Amino acid sequence: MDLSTFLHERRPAWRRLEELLERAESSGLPCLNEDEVVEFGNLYRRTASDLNQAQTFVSGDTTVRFLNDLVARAYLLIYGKTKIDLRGMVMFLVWGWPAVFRRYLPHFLLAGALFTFGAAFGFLACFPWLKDKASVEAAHNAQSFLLPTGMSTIQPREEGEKDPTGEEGRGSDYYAAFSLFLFTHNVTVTLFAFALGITFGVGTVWFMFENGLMLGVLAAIFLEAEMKDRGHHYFLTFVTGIVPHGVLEIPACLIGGAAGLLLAQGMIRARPWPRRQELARLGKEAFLLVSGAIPLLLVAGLLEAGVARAPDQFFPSMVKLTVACVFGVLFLIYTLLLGWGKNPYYRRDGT
Amino acid sequence: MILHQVLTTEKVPFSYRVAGLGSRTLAWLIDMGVVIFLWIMGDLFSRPLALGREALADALLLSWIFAAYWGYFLLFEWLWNGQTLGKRALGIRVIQWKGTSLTFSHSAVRNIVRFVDSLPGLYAVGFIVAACNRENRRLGDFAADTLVVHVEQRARPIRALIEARGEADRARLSLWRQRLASLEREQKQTVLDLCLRRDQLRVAERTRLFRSAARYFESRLELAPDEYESDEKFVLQLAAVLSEQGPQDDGPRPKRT
Repeated sequence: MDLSTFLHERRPAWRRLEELLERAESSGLPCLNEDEVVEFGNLYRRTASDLNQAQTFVSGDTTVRFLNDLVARAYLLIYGKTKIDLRGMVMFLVWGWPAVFRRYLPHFLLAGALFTFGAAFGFLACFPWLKDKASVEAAHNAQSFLLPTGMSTIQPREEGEKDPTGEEGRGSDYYAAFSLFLFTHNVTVTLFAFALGITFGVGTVWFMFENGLMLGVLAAIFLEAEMKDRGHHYFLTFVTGIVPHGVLEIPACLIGGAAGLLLAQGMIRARPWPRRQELARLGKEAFLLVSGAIPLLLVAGLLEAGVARAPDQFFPSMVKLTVACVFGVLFLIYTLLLGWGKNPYYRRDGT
Repeated sequence: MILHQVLTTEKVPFSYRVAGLGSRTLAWLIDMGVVIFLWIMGDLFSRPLALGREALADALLLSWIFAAYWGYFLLFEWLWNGQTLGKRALGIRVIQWKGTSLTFSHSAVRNIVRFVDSLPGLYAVGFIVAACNRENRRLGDFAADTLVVHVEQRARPIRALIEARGEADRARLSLWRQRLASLEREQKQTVLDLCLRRDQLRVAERTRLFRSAARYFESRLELAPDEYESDEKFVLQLAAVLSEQGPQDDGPRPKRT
């Protein structure tokens, strides 16, 4: 085709496409009526093929660039965002997520192993195994070395003992506020564990270990206090203070870690296809995995503020442990029994 | 100008202009301004509440700071075609690698990995990573398979190509037509093939092939390229003239492969 005829013949169509584009870009595709939508589709395809022709034969760069921008704008509009599907999101969390979780159970278990290793390490290093002075001193040194500076002065307390930091006037406000604080903090921790996966997993591995370490060191401190002073149940206080929410919070944190490890796998593992694709694929999977941790953390935040930290007049230790057991069982039912035989990508577009 | 080429579903290649670090940094500064403004607004609104119910006010403020920072980028990029206020001001937007708009999970992954990009402060990691790859992608972009591009809101007018040509050009064109008609069918086909498949060739090969083609036409048809005109452009113009004549004597037209 002659270049001048090419321009001459097609330019009206391009003008028309530009017109429709401008309208659709400012107020969305739905503002076009039925005929216009069909026309838009036809014009887009026509212009795309014009671009193809222009790239091959027209020597003028400007025409190609003009058509290129036109096609790019239309392409982004046509393959635009999907509808917001709240119901799909909820259905995914109920049915789809457990299947995703089960698929990446090895990652979860690895994150759990790292966490456990950290906890064991912290406990073994900080608990005075022998009664002699040197051993106790070594343990105390390890404690002050391993704990962050703000926490090194931690003093074990017993159930019902007055909190030296003075948390008076606990009303419903206090619990709402505290659980909100815990929720945001835990979400940050979990998402951080996920994001650290991009460091080829080094960050996630360290983070899991570090979190386990804290738990181990604290356990050692409380157990040591109880050993020294048989009359008090420091360790029981520690356990009842941790377990009711920890039963959901620790798995949620590990899920973040598992998602991070998944991301790391995408960066490291060789596949027959390009690394970019593998990382993108696993990045999406990891996000699906970590999204299930958010509701868990919401519940855990409420439990922690309402039950675990509640003084013993409200909830005796046995109640706290029962609550922990109930939620532990619920978590297992959720992750192990739901969503079998369903497509794990249930209405994936909505998520 | 760095281009990112994309194939449409109809397999037509087109390209986006990759946004550089400068515009992205400026966009980020604007966004941070907006976020800090939101924080200040939250603080002001929580003041009256703090008089009576301090704990609640503190917690709400804390969650607001959390939600404003994370939600701002996440929701804007998801719901506003990959643009935040800053990005819109700079005329850039986030798209998927394959050229389409972001979905929620892309936006989420991209912005969660922002944690690592912003380590150890002032986006040091993200900036270094972005400076070290062709499309200026930060780690979040890698994880979500996205990139930031310029969007042209206003297309440039087309310079009329042929109409602007003077009489001299028109005379030259008809001369070319005449001369080219003397080529054999295989030769025409070869020229067209060369032009169609030029993008698949390596640069060195491409230069070599076009140079030999140009030399051949110069000697055989006694046509010469304009001064300062490259061999490739010369041959392309010949091909354009050739293809004007339509498929009168050859079989199926060559398809772009």
